[in-house]
Amino acid sequence: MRSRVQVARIVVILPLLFTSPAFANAFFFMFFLPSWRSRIRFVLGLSVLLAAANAHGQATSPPFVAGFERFARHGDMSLAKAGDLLVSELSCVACHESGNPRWKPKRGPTLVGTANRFSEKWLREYLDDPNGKKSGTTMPHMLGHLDGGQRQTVINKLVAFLGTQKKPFETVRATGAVAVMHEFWNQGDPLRGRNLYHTVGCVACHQPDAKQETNQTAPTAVDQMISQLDSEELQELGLLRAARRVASVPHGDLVGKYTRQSLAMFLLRPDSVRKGARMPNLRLSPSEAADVTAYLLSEKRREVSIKETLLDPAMVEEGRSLFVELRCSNCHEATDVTSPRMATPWDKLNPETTHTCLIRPAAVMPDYGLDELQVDAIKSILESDSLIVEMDAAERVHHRMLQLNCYACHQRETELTNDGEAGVLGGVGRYRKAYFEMVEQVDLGDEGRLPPPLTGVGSKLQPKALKAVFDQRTTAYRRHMKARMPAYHANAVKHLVENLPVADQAGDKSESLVFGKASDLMFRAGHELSGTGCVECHLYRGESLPGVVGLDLAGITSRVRPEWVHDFVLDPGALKSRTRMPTFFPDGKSNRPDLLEGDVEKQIASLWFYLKDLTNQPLPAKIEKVRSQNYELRPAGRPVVLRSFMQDAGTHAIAVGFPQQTHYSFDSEKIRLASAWKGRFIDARGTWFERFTPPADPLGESLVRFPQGSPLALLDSDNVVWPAWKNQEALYQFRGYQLDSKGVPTFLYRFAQWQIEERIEPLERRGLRRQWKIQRVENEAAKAMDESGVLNVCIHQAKKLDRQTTTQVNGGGVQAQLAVVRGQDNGSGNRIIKTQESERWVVPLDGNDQQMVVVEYVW
Amino acid sequence: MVMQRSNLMQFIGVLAFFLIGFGPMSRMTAAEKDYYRLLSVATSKAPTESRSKNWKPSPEGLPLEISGMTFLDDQRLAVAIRKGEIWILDGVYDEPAVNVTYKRFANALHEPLGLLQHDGALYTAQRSELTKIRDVDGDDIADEYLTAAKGWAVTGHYHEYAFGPKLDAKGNLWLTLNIGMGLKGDQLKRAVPDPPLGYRQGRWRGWGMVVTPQGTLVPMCAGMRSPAGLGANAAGDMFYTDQQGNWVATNSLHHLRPGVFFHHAEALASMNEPGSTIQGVKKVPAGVPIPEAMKQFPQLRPPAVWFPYKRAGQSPTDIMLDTSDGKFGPFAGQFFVGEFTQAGVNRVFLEKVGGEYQGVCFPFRSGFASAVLRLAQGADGSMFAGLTNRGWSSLGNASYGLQRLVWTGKTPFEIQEMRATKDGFELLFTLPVDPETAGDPASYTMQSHTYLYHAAYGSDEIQKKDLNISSAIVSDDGRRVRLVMQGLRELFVHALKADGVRSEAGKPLLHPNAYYTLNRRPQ
Repeated sequence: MRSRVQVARIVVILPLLFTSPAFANAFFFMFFLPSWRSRIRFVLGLSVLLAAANAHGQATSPPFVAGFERFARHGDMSLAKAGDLLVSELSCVACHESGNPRWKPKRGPTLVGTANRFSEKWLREYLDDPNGKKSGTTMPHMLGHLDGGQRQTVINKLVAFLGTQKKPFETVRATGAVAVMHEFWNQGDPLRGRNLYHTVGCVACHQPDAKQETNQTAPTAVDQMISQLDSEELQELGLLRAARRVASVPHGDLVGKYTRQSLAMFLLRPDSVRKGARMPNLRLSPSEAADVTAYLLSEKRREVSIKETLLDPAMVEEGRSLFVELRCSNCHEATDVTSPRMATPWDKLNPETTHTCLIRPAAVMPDYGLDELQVDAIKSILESDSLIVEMDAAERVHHRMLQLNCYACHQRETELTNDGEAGVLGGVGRYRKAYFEMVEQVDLGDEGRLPPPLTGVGSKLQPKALKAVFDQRTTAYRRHMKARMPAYHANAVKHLVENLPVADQAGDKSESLVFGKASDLMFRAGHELSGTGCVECHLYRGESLPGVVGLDLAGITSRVRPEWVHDFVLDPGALKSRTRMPTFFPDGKSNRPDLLEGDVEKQIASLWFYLKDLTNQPLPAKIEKVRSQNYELRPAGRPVVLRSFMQDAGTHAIAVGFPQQTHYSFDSEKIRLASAWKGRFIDARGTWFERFTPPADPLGESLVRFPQGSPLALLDSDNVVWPAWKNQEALYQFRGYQLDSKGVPTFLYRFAQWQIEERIEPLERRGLRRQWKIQRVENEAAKAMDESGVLNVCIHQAKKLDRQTTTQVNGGGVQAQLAVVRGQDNGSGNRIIKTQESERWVVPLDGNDQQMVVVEYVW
Repeated sequence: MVMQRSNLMQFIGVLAFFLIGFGPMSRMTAAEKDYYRLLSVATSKAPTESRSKNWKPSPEGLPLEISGMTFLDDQRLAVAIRKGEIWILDGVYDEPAVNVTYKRFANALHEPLGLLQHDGALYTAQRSELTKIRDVDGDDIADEYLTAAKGWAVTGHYHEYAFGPKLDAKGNLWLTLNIGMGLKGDQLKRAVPDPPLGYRQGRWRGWGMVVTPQGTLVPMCAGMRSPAGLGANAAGDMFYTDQQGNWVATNSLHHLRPGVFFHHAEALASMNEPGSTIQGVKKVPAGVPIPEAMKQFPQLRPPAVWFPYKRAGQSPTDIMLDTSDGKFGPFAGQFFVGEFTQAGVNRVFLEKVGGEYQGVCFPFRSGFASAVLRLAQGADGSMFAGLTNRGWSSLGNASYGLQRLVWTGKTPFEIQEMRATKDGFELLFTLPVDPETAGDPASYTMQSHTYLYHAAYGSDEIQKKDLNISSAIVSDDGRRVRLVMQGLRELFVHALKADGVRSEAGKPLLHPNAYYTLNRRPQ
């Protein structure tokens, strides 16, 4: 007898096996087992498991409304508020008209485009039994009253009609910033998708995979305590809410429902399909959407093709009528349908009727499968006398946060009951915390990885910043968190943006009222104060001390209200419990009495003003030091060369720094010494790593600039006009540089028939020694360039020159000493040529083939 | 020998276990990685986003943002990195490459974007010049940075990159010069004064230049926007890739020849400069389809290959000729083109029709760790990819580095070559086809399109038309299929999708899409 049952079970199981590779594998695993007896035992166990799994898959549950499940079921909201929420989430007034704005129906997804979004098989199964196909769905069963045959006929007609609902998928625009692979939805990587799903925020609402590994950080003290308490103790301590497991928003049969393309497109733009915004936009890139799709559909063996059936026009038309008749169109958008059929207006409803949508729905009524508590909640508002109660701002915020399930991530203190009992609702909850990670393995506690609590947020953020939080274009502010703040259409969050400041009694004290006026003194003090503590945890316009992961303070003054910043800096713990931000003003006293007379108010103001002007202000000294260690070139032992764009040396600049702390820039386009300076050399970050190639600026002091102009000229002896660069340009040819064994560059260039080697090096810290070695070239090319006249070298140039001796001329803040002229007499023919713009000290050379001129600049 | 019953059952069980357990895997489409393995030599992730103004390299190791690559010998690879250095790497062939050594050879280069070992030295194009770098004193560190050529304007605009050099059959070193993008302030002072047609650009911006063996810089051809890749084919003819944007309808590959104009009208700013090979352009057509634009603008020549946007990448870079003679798989003599944004490599087959190059591009390999900017073929035939995505964006989880693509020895089922014929196209497959599917015209679809020539950023595909394939004739050896069709249009891209074709072994094509640029039909 028993064995027959066993065999029967196995027979029943066999076809089921092929629905699940896992079970199939397990089944065939039995052949590894040594005996039939053990195999049968194994299969029996398996059948129990499979039955359980099937039961799980097919289980129905009342419509799942996240806020209701989490709070109403545990008495964290009044029955009336719970009813309010259900009325909007179950879209009651889509049929039962009401003017109450808080019941604005969520409605279902648009069905325009159904034909290319969902599989036909899934559509049929879903219409046949919505809750059976997607446990917890908020779509009511509309065909429950029909028997099998009738139901199939209606489904056939509806599906025929829905088959006409075609809409091409939006084209995803590719740019230099957005990679869009061809058919990107097929290019996803399930492993990356799994990681995204578990980190960007999907699992704040949906079910995580228990097998997903997380970067478990140490539990907080509260978590530890909770785990050691029983429920009575938890209740006594008011920790029940924090200890509770939060149910997940069901996915339904994604594999059977979607194509890869339709799911990826939905993840990319959820609000194009579900305008109710209950599924928010997680700011996925196209490739990320493809990854998450690959993960969610990883069980997909075959891509469902939407059958391109020849649609019988009569069936389509009947389906179209049914779509309205069955009130599908009250919740779902479709093209070419007549206006929806409304039912009894809300205020005419009588909950005591025998058949209602709530209990024992009659044939044409929607069957939501509500449970007792849900019915009671809705009834409680139907029975209430004060139907349209004007909600205050805090209630509006609470209501919207329940609808959008903001509480899945954020905590906020809220009135729980009508008699004013308040408590903190929401947050990711104990069991989901592990999925909220930081970008790097740094422990900033829960504050650094969990979405921020929203108590008082309306009095913290400036209205524009509050609005920007939801905007798709806003880049992440808390970049250290892997979780993302989803984007919402402005209409979806209008109530939050408008009501949060009112609810949180935001003051509107202006900056000047809170902080007074900015001044250089203030900037300097703010700069100094930033270095005393802020830099240990914060970034300043992207720069930070090594290993610091935290908020960037740049832009904070345009995000946060002045008053809030003031109060927070003064006493962080008072505004944000358990924050890691320490107080810098214990007992309201500054530990820097040397700054601004130790005046706490002024010191906080100085931080504000410094941060407000941060783009123009120097970075805090400690950060600047670290930055310069990475990017400042500090010649030690040998000279350091950097080619870059420079203000004085132009776009062909070669900067050379020396250990002697004396440096220069050379313009290799106009072949001239452009500038010289002392002290620190140059910062290379912009040159090395910035796309927009900012000019590299000398860092040191005592900068001298040498005027533009041709450094060499061929002149007749009586010619007193120095030729302009543009007339000489063609005679020059820059040929590069050589480094000697000490690393000192010698520039090589041609001028007419002359080959020149120019070498510039420091005279310790006093100045520079500049040497030209000049040689006549005899090759053909040089001959072609042969020009007549005497070669003159301009050895100094300034607006005004002042001759001291035959070999010393001062000007432009530089003392120039003619040291050597070899190849002729001692340069005695040197002279000053004056023009209106500048004066030049020039040395004429005689016709010898080898020449050398040395001049020393001291400043 | 007779198997015992229980053993037989166990055998069946094991068999079923594998069939079911791994069935779904094997039923999935074959993956690129089954044929070409991607290995990382070194990849890093920057702590900042690729477009951040405050971009910083990873605090660990060398910022290996590879902008030039050349093999010094069978072992050592020299790379230029964007911060302006040249490093010599050894051990890059190791698997895993855990003992790579790095030696700095040169520094103080201004954003070098190419590297070539030539004439006993390393050549690289910096922003302002082509530089010849040598170690003279024998310490393996460069001490001579000679200017091999200069003379193009550098207005200071960031977009004025200089790429190269690469060597052609005549011993010329080729360079390509990016166009500037909206010059401002002092930059305008360095632009060509009083330019023709009013275009404000520095001299030779948007031009392809050669440096002759005698060392003379000669302008050759013009109209480039962002010519990030250069490469010669087996015959030594030089090609470049351009990137979609203003005037450039979509990404493209061009044969470089004197006097030819490619896309970007602002390069005409240098038309009247001494040495210019383009003369007499009085009016630039705008807002007309490419075939019409070419009638109105005779110097405008079509690219040898258009890469349809998104479908065949978003931003082509380096050109690598497969000279491995089969060590890198069945594509010897073809071009591989790096892809920046999509972090991949596409493949190009070229033929000469009517004396000019035209051809086809195919997707080849995706999944690199970052933007592919440079490609080089190693002595063993494997492909080295230099990666860096700073300033733009790319797929992949790294910011820069070096990866290596190695052929597994398994031949992928691909369209190896696609040639234009009088009445359609001939496909050569890497493996014999299944005659039934390959001989069925319904296994193929073809659509043609062209683009608009205009100053706007990129162009939609316009004048799309489906072609009717009347027959598909399989050759006796099963490697070739002749597609016969009506409605071929010259100067149009012909996009083939051969997703119905199966190999003899029943496999679909690894990449069923091919995009042929039919500038001319063979007569």
